[in-house]
Amino acid sequence: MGKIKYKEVTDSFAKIAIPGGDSGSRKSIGTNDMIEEVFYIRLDKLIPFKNQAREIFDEKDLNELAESIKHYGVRQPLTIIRSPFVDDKFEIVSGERRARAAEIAGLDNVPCVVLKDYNEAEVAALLENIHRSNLHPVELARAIKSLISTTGRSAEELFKALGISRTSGYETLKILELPEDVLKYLMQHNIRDRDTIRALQKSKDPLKLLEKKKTKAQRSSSVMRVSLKAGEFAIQKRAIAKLSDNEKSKLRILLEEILKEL
Amino acid sequence: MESIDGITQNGMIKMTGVIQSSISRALSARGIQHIPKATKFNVRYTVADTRKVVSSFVSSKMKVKKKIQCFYNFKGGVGKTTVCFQVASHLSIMGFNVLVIDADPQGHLSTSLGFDNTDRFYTLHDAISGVKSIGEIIKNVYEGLDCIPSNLSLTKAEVTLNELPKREERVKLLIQEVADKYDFIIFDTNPTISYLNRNIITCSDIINIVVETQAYALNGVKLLMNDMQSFVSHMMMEMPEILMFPNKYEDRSATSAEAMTVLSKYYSEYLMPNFAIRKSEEFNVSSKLSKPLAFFCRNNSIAFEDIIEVIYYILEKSCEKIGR
Repeated sequence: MGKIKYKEVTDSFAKIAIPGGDSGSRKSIGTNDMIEEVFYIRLDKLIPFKNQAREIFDEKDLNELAESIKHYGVRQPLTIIRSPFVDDKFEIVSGERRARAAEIAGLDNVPCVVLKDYNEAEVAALLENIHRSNLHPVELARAIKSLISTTGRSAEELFKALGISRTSGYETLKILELPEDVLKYLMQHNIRDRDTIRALQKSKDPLKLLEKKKTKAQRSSSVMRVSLKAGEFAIQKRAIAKLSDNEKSKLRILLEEILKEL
Repeated sequence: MESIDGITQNGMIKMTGVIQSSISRALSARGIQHIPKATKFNVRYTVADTRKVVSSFVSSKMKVKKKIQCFYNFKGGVGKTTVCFQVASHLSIMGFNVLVIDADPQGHLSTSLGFDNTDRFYTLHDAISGVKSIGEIIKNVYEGLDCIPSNLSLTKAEVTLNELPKREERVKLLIQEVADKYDFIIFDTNPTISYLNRNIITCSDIINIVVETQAYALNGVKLLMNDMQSFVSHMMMEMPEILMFPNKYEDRSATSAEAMTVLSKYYSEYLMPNFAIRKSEEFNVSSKLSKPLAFFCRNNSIAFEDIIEVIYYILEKSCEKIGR
């Protein structure tokens, strides 16, 4: 026909008409019986998932969660799957922290969603953990690697399912090329910033580099300096900007104490 | 002037895309006479004769691969029924054997086909509930075109389907019984998300989405695509092929032009490039007379021209060429 005109789309039109964004969560007729229901399952029926991605469980963190569970209960159901290895048990695909905390809180049973497909479960487990609280990059890399070998999916397929970009996906996997001792150190000290990890990957002897960092961390350095000259105060505080958030809040508490004394 | 239900030579030219002399040669080779009542200025041929001529140029050269189609959208008033009626009736005039199924309890497609929706007849519900076999409820409209009409009783299908096992696949099972008799089985749906529509999506090879070139209609498409995606993934089926037809395009309207920009930007994979069905009074007249465009339209009808383009696009997507 060739008579069609096109016109630039106005904002008001675009707002109504352009696809994307919301509404993925709407559940509509005809799909009801495919959506998993929530069941209350006894805690002693639950065992850890064989491919649990999380390796670190912080005790303090667990106790805090247990405290909140005592008050409010388990607010979000766990995702579990019937174990193919142990009869009459369910593996916890996601929510092992919640399960442990619920045990500390003295609960007998917890709300659970039961998944149907074991292969899907592995991806789902990782997905939920990534989204809920930040896995250490080493944990993430190990989990992706194990998914690649167990599900037979390609790395790129998994990156897509996990919602991470190709480049950052491969970068994460590359972490595993570091020596085991280094990986352990990274996890124990919760070192996760990209710059440090990249520096380690570049260096010929990453262990030595780590030692250096350690000694550097123990050396004392000036953060701020207050000087008095002819009745005028001068403050040097450039180093404050380089502090981590944690260090900053420590400093704040100290400074507040000083303020009280004044 | 009394109208005659027949097709002019000009109509045949439009439907086949061949030149006048090929048509007149094809007519005389078969010894076909025009309908006697015709005047000198209104020479028309019967549907049966037209099918013989047109099919020699069109349907005999194609093998239908994607037989089951529907016109779907849960935005109302976008022209689903109108386009569905035109496509189905002209496909049959072009020589294909078509079964068109009215799955809208409002029964407007049935009205277009000449049924009075206060009449008593069996609907798809009677087949779903098992009262009648699907063969028993099919009515003939004219040669090459059968239909299953509808009226308000079809609303009962929701409850019936809900109580049956495989409630998303009942229609698919029913259709299998008669599928061999037809080249195309075309559903017209009602604008809702219902079990009946789920059934139709489940059995369709091609989903034709008619989109009005207006903001709300595009908003509806956005919801529709989201919903279909989640449905097919829950059903673990492959997404049927989707074709989109912009409708009621108005040359002088700015919103039409904006809508075309959005459509071509976000849905170009489903669209025929640079095409929209233009708004035309002839579609309304066609529904009013309960007659396909070819029975009455003028030689230079834009509505007829657009519908033929739609049909060729559907044929291109659903057929394989055979022979030369």
